[in-house]
Amino acid sequence: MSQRPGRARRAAAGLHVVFVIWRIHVKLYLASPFEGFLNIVWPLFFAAMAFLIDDATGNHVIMRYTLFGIAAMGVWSSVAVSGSSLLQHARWGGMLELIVAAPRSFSLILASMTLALETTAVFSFAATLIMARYLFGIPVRIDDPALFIVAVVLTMIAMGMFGFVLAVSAVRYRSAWVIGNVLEYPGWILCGFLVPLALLPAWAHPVSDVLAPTWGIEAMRAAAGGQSPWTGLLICGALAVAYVCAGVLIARAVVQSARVHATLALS
Amino acid sequence: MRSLRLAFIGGLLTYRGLFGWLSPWIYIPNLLVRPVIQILLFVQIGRAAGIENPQFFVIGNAIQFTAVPCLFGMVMTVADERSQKLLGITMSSPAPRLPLFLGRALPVAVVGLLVSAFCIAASTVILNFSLPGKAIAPLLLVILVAAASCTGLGLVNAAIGLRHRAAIVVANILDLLLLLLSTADIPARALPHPLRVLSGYIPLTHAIAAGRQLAAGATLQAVAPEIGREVAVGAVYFIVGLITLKYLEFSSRRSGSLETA
Repeated sequence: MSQRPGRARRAAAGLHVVFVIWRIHVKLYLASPFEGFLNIVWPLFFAAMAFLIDDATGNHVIMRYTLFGIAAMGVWSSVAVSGSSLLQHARWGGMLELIVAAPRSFSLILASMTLALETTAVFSFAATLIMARYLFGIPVRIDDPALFIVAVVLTMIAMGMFGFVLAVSAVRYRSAWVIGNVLEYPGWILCGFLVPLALLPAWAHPVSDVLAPTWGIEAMRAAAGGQSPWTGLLICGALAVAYVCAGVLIARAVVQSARVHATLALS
Repeated sequence: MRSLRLAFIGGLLTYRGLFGWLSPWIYIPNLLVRPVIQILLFVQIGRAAGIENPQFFVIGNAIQFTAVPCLFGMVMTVADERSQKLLGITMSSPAPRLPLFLGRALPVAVVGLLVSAFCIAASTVILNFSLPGKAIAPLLLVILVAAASCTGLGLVNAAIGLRHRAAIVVANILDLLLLLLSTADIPARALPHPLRVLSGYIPLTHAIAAGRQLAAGATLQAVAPEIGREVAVGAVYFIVGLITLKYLEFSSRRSGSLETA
């Protein structure tokens, strides 16, 4: 009994840390021309291109399948491009050593930062849907708004956790931003944001299956179409948990190695 | 002779010192792998939507991707002088400005040509299609013209970078505008009328049209008018870029703001 208040206090303190880091980084990212402005504008251009190509077909082949996928492209871009270079920016800013030496878990701090990235990406998600509705006249129909919002939030969290894995994996790579640049388009293809997964070659399907956004978008489409989104939600949630576990293990190994070899600031 | 030396040796030295993507860890993924994936992405979209053939997207995107080294390279080799603490020295040197900045544009345009040629070669292998043998040399000429033309736009942006810190952000936006408007991925008929008109006045549009005609079997003579229009567009941007550089250099000196942007 005596341990319960202690645990509860620790959990509350942990949540407080997550909230403070999240709030500070949302403010930082929104003020940044790259993480704020470009992460919103960049996917909007691609969305506009997809809408124009769809218009050219005359029968709205793309839009019937992929409106929510197009809206989620910006979230993926944010994860891939900004997530992979998150720690590099911390290094350039002289913050990496402070983050690693902080008395809080390195993973907790980093996961809070990637969640902040995902929060700013919500703007691009919303902006794409607004552009689709009001600039291109595409109807945005959502039959089950409550489950749709659950699917959106869970997909954002899952993508944030993928960004967390990416961020810790790229910490020793000096040009980490390039990893994000290269992963951006493959993510759009493999998660089925723009084209149906059935059009991809067979070898690509297992890769798509281990990417949480594939299932998150599936759940969004199901909720919007009035079908059950639970399979997609459960697999997306399970993959998010798997990303967290993988990220924590990688973070421990990477930080330990950097401390032992004194390479944290050098790579 | 002195101007040629300044253009070629000065350009090469600046390129080696300031073009930040020369490391193979950046060059290969960013300038060779990414454009090929961009081509595959749009080929997939085209297949899903049932419009155009893969060749349409390969030629369009390969030529459009010259924009990346040309726009970003020009920002790096001109505006990034500030972060290296060299801008004041460069601007106070008595070197004539035309060879100084044309020299910086040359290596960047060559990188644009190489990247684009690589994209076409890789795509023909991956997507299993072939180009007419007689089209290859004229196509390289078209790509070179496209790269030079885009470098003109890059020069305008680099000039703005003398006064504004956000030149690299503007380069991103210009790249997106070229992708949207140059008909690299969207057939001209699918663009709204005002955008279709605008697309005729930006770099790459005419080069992409010429490239597609060559890939379809047209002769160099047949596409000469398109190449001529691309040269004209590029020349206008170059002249605007040089005038902007001259003006912003002068106004920066007058207001003492060269290092404060």
